[in-house]
Amino acid sequence: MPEKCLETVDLRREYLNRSFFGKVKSRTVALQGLSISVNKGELYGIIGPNGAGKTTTIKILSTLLLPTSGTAMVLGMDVTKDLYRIRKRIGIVFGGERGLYNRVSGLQNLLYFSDLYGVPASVSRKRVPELIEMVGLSGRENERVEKYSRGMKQRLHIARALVHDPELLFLDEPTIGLDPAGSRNIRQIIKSLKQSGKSIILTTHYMFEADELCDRIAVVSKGNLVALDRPSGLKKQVKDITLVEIKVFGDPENLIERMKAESKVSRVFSEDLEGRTTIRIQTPEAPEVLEAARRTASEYGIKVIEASIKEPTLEDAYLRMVEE
Amino acid sequence: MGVSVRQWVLESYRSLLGSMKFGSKGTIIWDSWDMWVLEIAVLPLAQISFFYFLVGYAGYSPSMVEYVVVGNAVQTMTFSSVFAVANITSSDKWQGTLSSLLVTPANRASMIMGRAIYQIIMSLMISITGLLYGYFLFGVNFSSADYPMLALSLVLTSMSMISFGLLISTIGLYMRTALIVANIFLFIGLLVCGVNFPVSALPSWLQILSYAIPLTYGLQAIRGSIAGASAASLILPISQLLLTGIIVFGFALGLTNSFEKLSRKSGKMEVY
Repeated sequence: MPEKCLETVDLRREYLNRSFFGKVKSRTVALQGLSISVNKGELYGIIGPNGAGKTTTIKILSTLLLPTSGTAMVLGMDVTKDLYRIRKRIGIVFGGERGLYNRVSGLQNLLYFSDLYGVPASVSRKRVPELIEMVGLSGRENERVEKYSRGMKQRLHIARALVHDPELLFLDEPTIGLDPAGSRNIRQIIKSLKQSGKSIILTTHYMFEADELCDRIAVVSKGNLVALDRPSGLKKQVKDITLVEIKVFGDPENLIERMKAESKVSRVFSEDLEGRTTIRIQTPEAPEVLEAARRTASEYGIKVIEASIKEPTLEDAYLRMVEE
Repeated sequence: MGVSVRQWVLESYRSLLGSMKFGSKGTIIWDSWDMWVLEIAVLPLAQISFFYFLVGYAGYSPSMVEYVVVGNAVQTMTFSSVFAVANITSSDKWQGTLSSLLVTPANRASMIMGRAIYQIIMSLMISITGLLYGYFLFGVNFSSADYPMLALSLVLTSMSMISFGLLISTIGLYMRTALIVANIFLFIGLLVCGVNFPVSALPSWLQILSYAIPLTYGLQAIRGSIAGASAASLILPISQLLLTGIIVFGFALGLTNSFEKLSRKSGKMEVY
């Protein structure tokens, strides 16, 4: 039986919006009884749409927010009681550019947080340069953070979360807003952290990222756990469908509407990019639907650049789960 | 299992020292010389001038004009000791660093205090500049001044007012910003602490508030020091200054944990 580093049972969190006189005007339920369990050394992904409860979960687990009910144990300690000891042993990375002191250097940010974590100066003198090297900021560590690119700031965020060498890391959308090269850089760092034995909880919007990095993935929607499996297991859940992918030029509206009306089509998604539209059609009868799509495109004078049948991806599995 | 006393003291010390070093660099906007000039040189001159000409127009006697000049020279320190300190939590919210700070195990009091200590120096510089303006430009008479007592009174006033800043800063852990409270406090200080007229001129119910704020005693001690009052006569206002400062400081420490807990409960920690 693998050793657990984190466990939540029936975790619930409500946000109350009160009037000036304290009367509850509205109630938002962010978590509706989430139960998850993460093994030591595991890279555990939490994916879900905006408002699914991912960040709320991370905040509760990192002691920044109290749950309304339920229990959350981190490294065997209660997040509502053992704040000091939990904080000593966890690290958290928030996505985005905010959350760093911009007027001082990256090095000064790291040294300050080393002090706040109570890291002895003899240790931080050795560890901080190593972290700067690890996240690829060598040579830039003495520059003010306000001069850093978004990717550099995100790498500094990671280094900051590691100044006290935590056992468990929370990464809350660490690649949000980064360009492909920056994202790949962060993913490499995450992989090396996992290899070094750290337990990692990762929230992300990017399915390929979760697929590439995570040992297991929890899909949350509206504050509930809707699926939990290895990436391959999640993909198997949509084995019954195949995908027809068509890339077209021109206004695809008529084509999309017609395909949605086809009886053998379960779902149609589209994405516009620089004048081209990629239409993904979920169907159990791919060859037949592919032909129908080509015919319809021709009828409406829409130029098809590419049309093929694809295996379902984690994103297809995810979309099906969060929409059900 | 709790933390050992030795470890607690060591870590609090590290957090205090780290925050002290960092406070002057990372968390304030005064990171260029022009900002320094504006805060230390222009701010006290502007405030003293405003009230100097106002009371001149109102026909105050020369001794009352001096009273007003000294009062405002000292009161300007609240921009740094109260306003800037109260802004610590608000600026962290605004920068998005508050969550990163509060997820550390650092002792909250030592962390915020460390960041505030720098403002003692700033507030002293502002007030000393104000008093120099008083001497060179507005005719304040320092011929009988007891400088050691004046220095002691200024330092204690600054430290006591920092306690008020800390108290207001803790509110920022829970409220969207503490700056509105700090702004209100600046004007309450002007009104009730004997800056522009004696506290005795206020209605008795308002004097209760006067004597709850360290600035009232600080001004008494500073004016007494400038007038060359005996050390014995200054002991009372200095003791009262120290006592109110300690009481407010105690409140600030107590409220830090309470407001942090409230913000964890309400989920308002990052709302600004």
